[in-house]
Amino acid sequence: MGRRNAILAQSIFFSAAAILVLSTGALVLFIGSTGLRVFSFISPASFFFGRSWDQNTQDFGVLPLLFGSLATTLVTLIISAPLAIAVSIFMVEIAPRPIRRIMRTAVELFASLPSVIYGLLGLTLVVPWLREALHVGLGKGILAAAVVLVFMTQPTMVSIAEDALRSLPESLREGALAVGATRWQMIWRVLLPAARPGLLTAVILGMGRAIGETMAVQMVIGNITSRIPNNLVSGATTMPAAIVTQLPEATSPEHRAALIMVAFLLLVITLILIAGVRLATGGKSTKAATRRAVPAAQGGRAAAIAKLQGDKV
Amino acid sequence: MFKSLRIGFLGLVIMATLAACGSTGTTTTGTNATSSTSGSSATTPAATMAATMMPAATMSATMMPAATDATMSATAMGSTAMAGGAVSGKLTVAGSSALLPMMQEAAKEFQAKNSGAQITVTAGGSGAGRTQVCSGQIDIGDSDVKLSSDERTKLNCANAVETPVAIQAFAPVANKKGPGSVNSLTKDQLVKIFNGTTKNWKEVGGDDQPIVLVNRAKGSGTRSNMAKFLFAGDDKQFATGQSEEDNSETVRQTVSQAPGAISYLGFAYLTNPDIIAFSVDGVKADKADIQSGAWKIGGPGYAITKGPGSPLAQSFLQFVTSPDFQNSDAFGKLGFVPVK
Repeated sequence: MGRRNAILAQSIFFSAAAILVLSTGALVLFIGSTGLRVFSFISPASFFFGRSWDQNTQDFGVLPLLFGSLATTLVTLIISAPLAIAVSIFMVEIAPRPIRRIMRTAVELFASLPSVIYGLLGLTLVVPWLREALHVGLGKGILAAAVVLVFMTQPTMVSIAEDALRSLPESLREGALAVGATRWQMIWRVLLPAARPGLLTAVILGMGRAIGETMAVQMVIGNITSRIPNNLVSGATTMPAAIVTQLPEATSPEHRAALIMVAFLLLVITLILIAGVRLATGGKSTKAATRRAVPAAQGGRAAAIAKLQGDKV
Repeated sequence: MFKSLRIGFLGLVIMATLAACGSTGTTTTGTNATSSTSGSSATTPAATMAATMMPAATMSATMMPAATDATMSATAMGSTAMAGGAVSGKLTVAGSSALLPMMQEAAKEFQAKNSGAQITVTAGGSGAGRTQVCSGQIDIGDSDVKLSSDERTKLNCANAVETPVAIQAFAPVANKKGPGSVNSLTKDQLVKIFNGTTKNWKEVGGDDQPIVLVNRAKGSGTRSNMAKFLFAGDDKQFATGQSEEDNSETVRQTVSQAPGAISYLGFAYLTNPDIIAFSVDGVKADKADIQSGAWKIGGPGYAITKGPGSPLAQSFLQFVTSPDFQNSDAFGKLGFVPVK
């Protein structure tokens, strides 16, 4: 009886795993094969290096979309990454317990807000604010999208970075303080280097969120696809925003295939990011990696302490 | 060794069964997802996202002709016309968001008269209406413009029948800051504003305020109607502008907020006190002028069927175009003008 249950359980788990793997494979295969069909309509060169995406002229150059995505993500990360790391240091090392609890609730709340709400806030607060502060025509553009995305990426980044910092062994802190390091030195020279893989994972996953965000971005970026953006405050677009805006109205097979190819490109970029996470964490999944990184860091503790001492002398 | 093999085999069997269930499941949900989500896409961004996030589901629906045929034959069988004019069966209608309120009203009244009929009306955009009716996902596609000859070939829709169901009107609108005291523009002035030649309101007699051009996304029916009026249908002449919005509500919001902004909207959206609607060549944007034909921006909206459509579809369209419905108060209140 027990043995039969075990077999049943095993086969259920095996099936579940296989379904997941197969459906992921099918997804990649399907989007890839449908998307690649675009190259029977237009040449790869005009797709990858075309500087305009305009269904009126049947130009489907991906550069305006790709550039928009990269620029938006980059601006977001420049603001968001240091902010998230600072917030998580504050939560782990500085904030007293009640404040920490309030902050964690706030972070969770941020994480559970639907992206349409972020988009609406962006449309009614960020866009008018940028318009008046910078005296630009409309205020929609890459900068507006990045400001919205900073708020959207915070929960992901803060919670992972906080986990990474919290899982560092107490002995690291004690060791550093024992040799006379100030709190700042302890954080800067011991904790941050030791938590590096976890922090990197936080940044990469935040980046994934930024690059894939669709609705909120689409509402504030202006959706101009026909040119490569040359500044941060006039209309632009990103890959997912272009897909969501244009797919419902895509009547020609060329246009449809080109949009699905963009989806495939987005999928590839996301897969690269995931590979990046694995690389950053040494081949283990996020949480296990942050935990595993600790012994290594502990190994380097002597060196860290030595460095601190050297610093003090 | 053998044991683990056997477990693996059992697992595979279970998996195959699940996968089989899964794939049939996908077909049906796929079809539903396409019609219902793309329907609400114009109004609820979340739904749009869901629709786009599920290209696989959408495609699987389009790529399974067998399944679609089955659905269609089911519809055809279900929609047997009964004696005495009462009809029953299911009908799906999707497309133009401008026509949506009118079609919803028509469906409501039609269902009240024919209790056996079940009509689902959603939006999704004129382009979606044309694509989906041609691929057989829906029974009637609403569109602000006719199918182009190119679309008829590419979408395999040579036998499409376009029934004009209402005359719609559109008007150029602007933020109150910028035009100053100007409330009427000539067609020539509008052409120059929308093709990007005129860049400041003072050039047309307004304040010294840069013009901020807000467009609808390409493929929008509202935009094509403006292009028809301004550029003889050549959409390429539209200047790129500051942004391209995918629905009228965002346009209204954006124009009402941003000083100097100009765009265009359907008549149903002109009620906002924060925006002004221009007279064109001295003709004011009001219902009397649309009815008399003096207002030039706009045209018929169409209900498209592949072939003549099912008996139920025919009977529904007969109702929509009937004088009873076209001259009803509900129809007029929505800002439409009868086709005849």
